[in-house]
Amino acid sequence: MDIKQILSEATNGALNEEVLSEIENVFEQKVNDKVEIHVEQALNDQDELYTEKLNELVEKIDADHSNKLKRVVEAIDSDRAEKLKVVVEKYESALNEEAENFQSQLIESVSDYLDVYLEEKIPVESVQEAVKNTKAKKILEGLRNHLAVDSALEKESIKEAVIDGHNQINEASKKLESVAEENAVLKEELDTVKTGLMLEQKTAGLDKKTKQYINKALKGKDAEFIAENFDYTLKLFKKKESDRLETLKEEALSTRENVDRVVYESKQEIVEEKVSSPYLSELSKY
Amino acid sequence: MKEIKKDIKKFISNVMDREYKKASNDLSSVINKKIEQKILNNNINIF
Repeated sequence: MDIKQILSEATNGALNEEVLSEIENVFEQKVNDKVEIHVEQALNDQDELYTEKLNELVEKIDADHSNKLKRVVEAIDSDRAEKLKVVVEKYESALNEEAENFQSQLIESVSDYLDVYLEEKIPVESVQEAVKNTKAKKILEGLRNHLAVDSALEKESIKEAVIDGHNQINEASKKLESVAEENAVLKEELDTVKTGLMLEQKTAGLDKKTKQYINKALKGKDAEFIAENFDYTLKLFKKKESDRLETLKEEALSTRENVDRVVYESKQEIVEEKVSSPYLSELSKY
Repeated sequence: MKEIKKDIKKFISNVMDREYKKASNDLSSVINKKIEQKILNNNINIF
Protein backbone atom coordinates (compact mmCIF):
# COMPACT_ATOMS: atom_id res chain seq x y z
CA MET A 1 0.00 0.00 0.00
CA ASP A 2 1.42 3.37 -0.97
CA ILE A 3 1.14 6.66 0.88
CA LYS A 4 -1.33 8.17 -1.57
CA GLN A 5 -3.89 5.48 -0.92
CA ILE A 6 -3.44 5.70 2.84
CA LEU A 7 -3.85 9.47 2.83
CA SER A 8 -6.90 9.28 0.46
CA GLU A 9 -8.59 6.76 2.73
CA ALA A 10 -7.67 8.73 5.82
CA THR A 11 -9.02 11.97 4.45
CA ASN A 12 -11.94 10.31 2.62
CA GLY A 13 -10.84 11.72 -0.67
CA ALA A 14 -10.44 15.31 0.60
CA LEU A 15 -7.01 15.61 -0.96
CA ASN A 16 -6.72 15.71 -4.66
CA GLU A 17 -4.24 13.76 -6.68
CA GLU A 18 -1.88 16.64 -7.01
CA VAL A 19 -1.56 17.25 -3.30
CA LEU A 20 -1.24 13.60 -2.65
CA SER A 21 1.53 13.40 -5.19
CA GLU A 22 3.17 16.37 -3.56
CA ILE A 23 2.93 14.81 -0.09
CA GLU A 24 4.17 11.56 -1.46
CA ASN A 25 7.16 13.29 -3.00
CA VAL A 26 7.96 15.13 0.22
CA PHE A 27 7.46 11.96 2.24
CA GLU A 28 9.70 9.98 -0.03
CA GLN A 29 12.18 12.76 0.04
CA LYS A 30 12.28 12.73 3.83
CA VAL A 31 12.41 8.96 3.97
CA ASN A 32 15.26 8.94 1.46
CA ASP A 33 17.12 11.54 3.51
CA LYS A 34 16.68 9.45 6.67
CA VAL A 35 17.72 6.30 4.86
CA GLU A 36 20.71 8.04 3.45
CA ILE A 37 21.76 9.25 6.92
CA HIS A 38 21.32 5.78 8.39
CA VAL A 39 23.15 4.13 5.55
CA GLU A 40 25.97 6.60 5.89
CA GLN A 41 26.07 5.98 9.66
CA ALA A 42 26.07 2.25 9.14
CA LEU A 43 28.75 2.53 6.53
CA ASN A 44 30.86 4.66 8.86
CA ASP A 45 30.42 2.16 11.68
CA GLN A 46 31.28 -0.66 9.33
CA ASP A 47 34.30 1.24 8.09
CA GLU A 48 35.56 1.84 11.62
CA LEU A 49 35.02 -1.78 12.53
CA TYR A 50 36.68 -3.02 9.41
CA THR A 51 39.51 -0.52 9.84
CA GLU A 52 40.18 -1.75 13.39
CA LYS A 53 40.04 -5.34 12.27
CA LEU A 54 42.20 -4.60 9.28
CA ASN A 55 44.70 -2.77 11.48
CA GLU A 56 44.85 -5.73 13.86
CA LEU A 57 45.18 -8.07 10.93
CA VAL A 58 47.89 -5.96 9.33
CA GLU A 59 49.79 -5.76 12.64
CA LYS A 60 49.56 -9.51 13.13
CA ILE A 61 50.60 -10.13 9.54
CA ASP A 62 53.42 -7.61 9.96
CA ALA A 63 54.69 -9.27 13.11
CA ASP A 64 54.45 -12.69 11.54
CA HIS A 65 56.14 -11.53 8.37
CA SER A 66 58.80 -9.70 10.37
CA ASN A 67 59.63 -12.85 12.33
CA LYS A 68 59.68 -14.89 9.19
CA LEU A 69 61.79 -12.31 7.40
CA LYS A 70 64.20 -12.18 10.33
CA ARG A 71 64.58 -15.93 10.20
CA VAL A 72 65.03 -15.84 6.47
CA VAL A 73 67.59 -13.03 6.72
CA GLU A 74 69.51 -14.82 9.47
CA ALA A 75 69.50 -18.04 7.50
CA ILE A 76 70.62 -16.25 4.37
CA ASP A 77 73.25 -14.30 6.32
CA SER A 78 74.77 -17.38 7.91
CA ASP A 79 74.64 -19.26 4.64
CA ARG A 80 76.25 -16.41 2.71
CA ALA A 81 78.83 -15.87 5.47
CA GLU A 82 79.86 -19.53 5.35
CA LYS A 83 80.04 -19.43 1.59
CA LEU A 84 82.01 -16.18 1.71
CA LYS A 85 84.43 -17.70 4.22
CA VAL A 86 84.99 -20.65 1.94
CA VAL A 87 85.46 -18.34 -1.01
CA VAL A 88 87.89 -16.10 0.93
CA GLU A 89 89.93 -19.07 2.16
CA LYS A 90 90.05 -20.54 -1.29
CA TYR A 91 91.14 -17.27 -2.86
CA GLU A 92 93.66 -16.54 -0.12
CA SER A 93 95.30 -19.93 -0.50
CA ALA A 94 95.21 -19.59 -4.25
CA LEU A 95 96.62 -16.08 -3.98
CA ASN A 96 99.43 -17.16 -1.63
CA GLU A 97 100.35 -20.10 -3.79
CA GLU A 98 100.26 -17.96 -6.86
CA ALA A 99 102.27 -15.26 -5.10
CA GLU A 100 104.89 -17.80 -4.01
CA ASN A 101 105.05 -19.27 -7.47
CA PHE A 102 105.30 -15.82 -8.94
CA GLN A 103 108.02 -14.87 -6.47
CA SER A 104 110.08 -17.96 -7.21
CA GLN A 105 109.61 -17.38 -10.93
CA LEU A 106 110.65 -13.76 -10.47
CA ILE A 107 113.76 -14.81 -8.52
CA GLU A 108 114.66 -17.28 -11.25
CA SER A 109 114.09 -14.65 -13.91
CA VAL A 110 116.20 -12.04 -12.11
CA SER A 111 118.96 -14.61 -11.56
CA ASP A 112 118.91 -15.65 -15.22
CA TYR A 113 118.84 -12.04 -16.35
CA LEU A 114 121.84 -11.21 -14.15
CA ASP A 115 123.69 -14.25 -15.49
CA VAL A 116 123.06 -13.17 -19.06
CA TYR A 117 123.88 -9.53 -18.30
CA LEU A 118 127.13 -10.43 -16.54
CA GLU A 119 128.07 -12.81 -19.34
CA GLU A 120 127.47 -10.03 -21.83
CA LYS A 121 129.12 -7.18 -19.95
CA ILE A 122 131.84 -9.07 -18.08
CA PRO A 123 132.86 -12.10 -20.16
CA VAL A 124 135.15 -14.79 -18.79
CA GLU A 125 138.09 -13.34 -20.75
CA SER A 126 137.68 -10.01 -18.96
CA VAL A 127 137.62 -11.73 -15.60
CA GLN A 128 140.77 -13.64 -16.48
CA GLU A 129 142.43 -10.44 -17.61
CA ALA A 130 141.40 -8.66 -14.44
CA VAL A 131 142.79 -11.49 -12.35
CA LYS A 132 146.06 -11.34 -14.30
CA ASN A 133 146.22 -7.56 -13.84
CA THR A 134 145.62 -7.85 -10.12
CA LYS A 135 148.28 -10.55 -9.88
CA ALA A 136 150.77 -8.42 -11.80
CA LYS A 137 149.94 -5.42 -9.64
CA LYS A 138 150.58 -7.42 -6.50
CA ILE A 139 153.85 -8.76 -7.85
CA LEU A 140 154.97 -5.26 -8.77
CA GLU A 141 154.04 -3.99 -5.33
CA GLY A 142 156.05 -6.80 -3.81
CA LEU A 143 159.04 -6.03 -6.02
CA ARG A 144 158.84 -2.36 -5.17
CA ASN A 145 158.72 -3.12 -1.49
CA HIS A 146 161.55 -5.62 -1.86
CA LEU A 147 163.79 -3.27 -3.80
CA ALA A 148 162.74 -0.25 -1.75
CA VAL A 149 161.90 1.57 -4.90
CA ASP A 150 159.05 3.99 -5.15
CA SER A 151 157.81 6.18 -7.93
CA ALA A 152 159.35 9.19 -6.20
CA LEU A 153 162.71 7.43 -6.16
CA GLU A 154 162.76 6.76 -9.85
CA LYS A 155 164.28 10.20 -10.53
CA GLU A 156 168.08 10.18 -10.80
CA SER A 157 168.61 13.28 -8.63
CA ILE A 158 166.64 11.87 -5.73
CA LYS A 159 168.09 8.40 -6.12
CA GLU A 160 171.67 9.49 -5.27
CA ALA A 161 170.53 11.40 -2.19
CA VAL A 162 168.54 8.44 -1.03
CA ILE A 163 171.45 6.03 -1.58
CA ASP A 164 173.76 8.42 0.31
CA GLY A 165 171.23 8.67 3.12
CA HIS A 166 170.90 4.90 3.15
CA ASN A 167 174.68 4.47 3.46
CA GLN A 168 174.84 7.03 6.25
CA ILE A 169 172.04 5.30 8.08
CA ASN A 170 173.81 1.96 7.73
CA GLU A 171 177.08 3.41 9.09
CA ALA A 172 175.26 5.08 11.95
CA SER A 173 173.50 1.81 12.74
CA LYS A 174 176.79 -0.07 12.80
CA LYS A 175 178.35 2.55 15.07
CA LEU A 176 175.37 2.41 17.34
CA GLU A 177 175.64 -1.36 17.57
CA SER A 178 179.35 -1.26 18.46
CA VAL A 179 178.76 1.48 21.04
CA ALA A 180 175.91 -0.51 22.53
CA GLU A 181 178.15 -3.58 22.77
CA GLU A 182 180.90 -1.55 24.45
CA ASN A 183 178.36 -0.07 26.79
CA ALA A 184 177.08 -3.54 27.72
CA VAL A 185 180.63 -4.77 28.40
CA LEU A 186 181.41 -1.73 30.53
CA LYS A 187 178.20 -2.11 32.44
CA GLU A 188 178.96 -5.75 33.14
CA GLU A 189 182.44 -4.88 34.34
CA LEU A 190 181.06 -2.10 36.51
CA ASP A 191 178.55 -4.49 38.04
CA THR A 192 181.28 -7.01 38.79
CA VAL A 193 183.44 -4.36 40.40
CA LYS A 194 180.50 -3.06 42.40
CA THR A 195 179.63 -6.55 43.58
CA GLY A 196 183.22 -7.27 44.56
CA LEU A 197 183.46 -4.00 46.42
CA MET A 198 180.22 -4.60 48.24
CA LEU A 199 181.29 -8.12 49.21
CA GLU A 200 184.63 -6.79 50.34
CA GLN A 201 182.96 -4.10 52.45
CA LYS A 202 180.46 -6.48 54.00
CA THR A 203 183.00 -9.24 54.77
CA ALA A 204 185.63 -6.81 56.06
CA GLY A 205 185.23 -7.77 59.75
CA LEU A 206 184.72 -11.50 59.24
CA ASP A 207 187.21 -14.34 59.63
CA LYS A 208 188.85 -16.06 56.67
CA LYS A 209 186.63 -19.12 56.57
CA THR A 210 183.41 -17.14 56.75
CA LYS A 211 184.74 -14.81 54.08
CA GLN A 212 185.51 -17.78 51.82
CA TYR A 213 182.07 -19.29 52.37
CA ILE A 214 180.33 -15.97 51.70
CA ASN A 215 182.42 -15.34 48.58
CA LYS A 216 181.63 -18.84 47.32
CA ALA A 217 177.91 -18.53 47.99
CA LEU A 218 177.48 -15.05 46.56
CA LYS A 219 179.95 -15.22 43.69
CA GLY A 220 178.54 -14.10 40.38
CA LYS A 221 175.42 -12.54 41.93
CA ASP A 222 174.46 -8.94 41.36
CA ALA A 223 174.70 -6.16 43.95
CA GLU A 224 170.99 -6.15 44.72
CA PHE A 225 170.94 -9.89 45.40
CA ILE A 226 173.97 -9.61 47.65
CA ALA A 227 172.43 -6.71 49.61
CA GLU A 228 169.23 -8.70 50.11
CA ASN A 229 170.78 -12.07 50.96
CA PHE A 230 174.06 -11.28 52.68
CA ASP A 231 172.67 -11.36 56.23
CA TYR A 232 170.72 -14.53 55.56
CA THR A 233 173.79 -16.29 54.12
CA LEU A 234 175.88 -15.21 57.05
CA LYS A 235 173.31 -16.50 59.53
CA LEU A 236 173.03 -19.75 57.62
CA PHE A 237 176.77 -20.25 57.67
CA LYS A 238 176.95 -19.51 61.39
CA LYS A 239 174.16 -21.95 62.13
CA LYS A 240 175.74 -24.68 60.01
CA GLU A 241 179.06 -24.09 61.65
CA SER A 242 177.64 -24.24 65.16
CA ASP A 243 175.69 -27.42 64.31
CA ARG A 244 178.76 -29.04 62.87
CA LEU A 245 180.88 -28.15 65.87
CA GLU A 246 178.23 -29.42 68.23
CA THR A 247 178.13 -32.75 66.41
CA LEU A 248 181.88 -33.08 66.41
CA LYS A 249 182.03 -32.27 70.08
CA GLU A 250 179.47 -34.93 70.93
CA GLU A 251 181.30 -37.52 68.84
CA ALA A 252 184.58 -36.65 70.44
CA LEU A 253 183.18 -36.93 73.95
CA SER A 254 181.47 -40.27 73.29
CA THR A 255 184.57 -41.95 71.78
CA ARG A 256 187.22 -40.44 74.05
CA GLU A 257 187.72 -43.47 76.43
CA ASN A 258 187.65 -46.30 73.87
CA VAL A 259 189.93 -44.76 71.42
CA ASP A 260 193.31 -46.45 70.78
CA ARG A 261 196.17 -44.85 69.08
CA VAL A 262 195.52 -46.13 65.64
CA VAL A 263 191.87 -45.29 65.76
CA TYR A 264 192.67 -41.93 67.24
CA GLU A 265 194.98 -41.17 64.38
CA SER A 266 192.47 -42.21 61.78
CA LYS A 267 189.85 -40.16 63.62
CA GLN A 268 192.15 -37.29 63.62
CA GLU A 269 192.71 -37.64 59.92
CA ILE A 270 189.02 -37.72 59.26
CA VAL A 271 188.53 -34.64 61.36
CA GLU A 272 191.33 -32.92 59.60
CA GLU A 273 189.83 -33.80 56.33
CA LYS A 274 186.45 -32.50 57.35
CA VAL A 275 187.34 -29.24 59.12
CA SER A 276 190.31 -27.10 59.76
CA SER A 277 188.90 -24.81 62.43
CA PRO A 278 190.84 -23.81 65.58
CA TYR A 279 188.26 -25.42 67.80
CA LEU A 280 188.70 -28.79 66.12
CA SER A 281 192.44 -28.56 66.21
CA GLU A 282 192.13 -28.08 69.93
CA LEU A 283 189.79 -31.06 70.15
CA SER A 284 192.20 -33.25 68.22
CA LYS A 285 194.74 -32.97 71.00
CA TYR A 286 192.57 -35.17 73.24
CA MET B 1 123.29 -20.90 -5.14
CA LYS B 2 120.84 -20.76 -2.24
CA GLU B 3 122.68 -17.75 -0.87
CA ILE B 4 122.29 -15.96 -4.18
CA LYS B 5 118.55 -16.72 -4.28
CA LYS B 6 118.17 -15.47 -0.73
CA ASP B 7 119.93 -12.24 -1.68
CA ILE B 8 117.72 -11.83 -4.76
CA LYS B 9 114.64 -12.37 -2.57
CA LYS B 10 115.90 -9.69 -0.19
CA PHE B 11 116.58 -7.40 -3.14
CA ILE B 12 113.01 -7.85 -4.47
CA SER B 13 111.40 -7.27 -1.07
CA ASN B 14 113.53 -4.17 -0.49
CA VAL B 15 112.51 -2.81 -3.89
CA MET B 16 108.86 -3.48 -3.00
CA ASP B 17 109.35 -1.62 0.30
CA ARG B 18 111.12 1.21 -1.57
CA GLU B 19 114.28 0.65 0.48
CA TYR B 20 116.50 1.37 -2.48
CA LYS B 21 119.76 1.69 -0.56
CA LYS B 22 119.37 -1.75 0.95
CA ALA B 23 118.23 -3.09 -2.42
CA SER B 24 121.39 -1.67 -4.01
CA ASN B 25 123.57 -3.42 -1.41
CA ASP B 26 121.71 -6.67 -2.00
CA LEU B 27 122.19 -6.38 -5.75
CA SER B 28 125.92 -5.70 -5.26
CA SER B 29 126.18 -8.79 -3.08
CA VAL B 30 124.35 -10.87 -5.70
CA ILE B 31 126.65 -9.65 -8.49
CA ASN B 32 129.75 -10.32 -6.39
CA LYS B 33 128.60 -13.85 -5.70
CA LYS B 34 127.75 -14.39 -9.35
CA ILE B 35 131.25 -13.32 -10.39
CA GLU B 36 132.78 -15.55 -7.70
CA GLN B 37 130.72 -18.41 -9.06
CA LYS B 38 131.87 -17.57 -12.56
CA ILE B 39 135.51 -17.61 -11.44
CA LEU B 40 135.00 -21.00 -9.77
CA ASN B 41 133.09 -22.49 -12.70
CA ASN B 42 135.71 -21.41 -15.21
CA ASN B 43 138.65 -22.62 -13.09
CA ILE B 44 140.30 -19.22 -13.09
CA ASN B 45 143.36 -19.30 -10.85
CA ILE B 46 143.39 -16.23 -8.67
CA PHE B 47 146.54 -17.19 -6.72
